[in-house]
Amino acid sequence: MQHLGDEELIFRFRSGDGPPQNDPHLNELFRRYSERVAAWCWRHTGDRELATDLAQEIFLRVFERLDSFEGNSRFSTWLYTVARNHCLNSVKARAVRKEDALEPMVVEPLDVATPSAEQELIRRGRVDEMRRLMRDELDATEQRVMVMHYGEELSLDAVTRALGLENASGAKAFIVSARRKLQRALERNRGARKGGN
Amino acid sequence: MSTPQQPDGENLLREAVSTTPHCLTIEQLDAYLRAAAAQEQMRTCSTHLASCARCANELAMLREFLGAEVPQGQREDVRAVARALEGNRERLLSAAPGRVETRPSWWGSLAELFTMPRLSFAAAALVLAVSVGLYVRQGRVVETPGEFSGSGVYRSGKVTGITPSGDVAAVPSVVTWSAVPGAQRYQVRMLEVDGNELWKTVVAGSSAPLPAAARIHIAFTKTLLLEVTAIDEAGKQIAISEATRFRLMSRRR
Repeated sequence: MQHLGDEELIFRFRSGDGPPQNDPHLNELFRRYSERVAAWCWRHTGDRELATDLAQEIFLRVFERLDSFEGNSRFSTWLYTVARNHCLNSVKARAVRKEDALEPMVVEPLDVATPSAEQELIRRGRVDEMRRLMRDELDATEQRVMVMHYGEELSLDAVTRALGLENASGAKAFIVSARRKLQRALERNRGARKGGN
Repeated sequence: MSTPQQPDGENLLREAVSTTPHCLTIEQLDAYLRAAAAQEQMRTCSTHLASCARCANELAMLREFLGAEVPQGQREDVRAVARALEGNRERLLSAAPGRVETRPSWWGSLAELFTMPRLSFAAAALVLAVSVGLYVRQGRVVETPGEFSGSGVYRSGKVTGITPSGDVAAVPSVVTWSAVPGAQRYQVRMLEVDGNELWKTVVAGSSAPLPAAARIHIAFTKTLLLEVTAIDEAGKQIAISEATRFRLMSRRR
C-alpha cells in the first residue's frame, strides 16, 4: 500500500466498493496527510481546538469533492490549496482588526496636468519599481511578511504565527524595517531620476 | 477638470504584492520544487521567482506544507490535533462521494407525501411548504458578509461588466469589470453557488489577475460566481455587483 502514489490510491478507492471509511486506500491517504494538515492548522492558529476544527473542515471538504479530483495536478498540491485557502480565510475572518501605527510611505505625487492615460502608465511603472525593490532590497523574511500582510491581508499577529517569528515584536519589526528600506530606495531612485533630467 | 487620484504608498505596496498574469500556477511551483519540470520551464520559473515576492512566498508555503517539519516546541500540540483528527477519521472518510447515504431530494419527499394516510395530509403539506421554502432559500446565492460590510456601508450603485461571465472555453486568467467613480479599491470574490468563498483579493484597478490558488477551483462544468465590491477612500462600500455566474466548458487548462 505504501508504495502507491496518492493519485493511485484515489483511483483504487474509486474502483472499489463498500463504505469509504473501511477503504484501505482512503485510510492510507488520510494517514499520509493528517499530521501535515494538523501541523499546518496549528501553525496558523496556535490553538488546539481551532486547529482541530479547521483540519476536520479541510479533510471534509477534500473528501466530499474527491470525485471532482481529475488528476490534472497532484493530490498533495490540491490538498495544499484547500488547506491554504481555508486556513487563511479563517484566520482573516477571526482577526480583530487593529491598525498598527506605521510611518506613512511617501510616494512621488503626480503632476495634476498629466493626462490620465499617462498617469496610468506612471502608476504601473511605480508598481513595477516597487516589485523590483521588494526583491532587491528586502531580505527573505521581510518579503514574506510584506506578502502575507499586504497581499494575503493577514494581521501582523497572524503573520507572526504563520511564519513562526520568535523576535519580541514579531512581524511588526520586519514590516517597519522593510518599509524604511523601501522608502530609502524610492528616494534614491527619485534622486537619480532628477539627477538624470 | 477633476484632480487626478494621488498615489498612495499603502496601495502601492498592496499592488506590488498582488498576482500578475505572469505569476506561476501551483502546478508549476510544485514541479519547480520537485525539479520535475523541463529545463526551460525550470529556468522560466527561476527567473520569475527572482522578481516576484508573491510567488516566492507561495513556493515557501508549499514547501512548508509538503515538508511538514514540525518545530520541536510545537510537536506536542500538533500531535494532539492529529490525535483529535484520528478520533474523527471514520466520520471524515465517510464524506467521500458515492458511498454515503444521500438525503432524499424534495421530489422524493413529495412522492412519499402521496403514500401517507389522508389524515396526515394537512400536517405533511405544511412540512412540505416549509421544506420547499428552505430548499429554495438554501439553493439561492447566499450573500456572505464581505470584509468591508457592517456599519457605515453605503451601496448606492452596482458594479457591472464583469468578465468572465457565462460559459467560457478556457480557464480565465483575469477578472475585469467597469470602473466605478469614486472607488479607491475593489474587493473581488470567487464563490461556489452555495456562497462558499473560494478566493478573494483586493485591487486598485478595474481588473484582478486570477492566481493559481483561484484557478485551481475552476473545474470543468462547475458553475462559479464572481462578486466585485467597490470601496471608497474611507473604506465604505459604494457599489456591489450581482453574483456573476461563469462555467468552464472545456477540459483545456
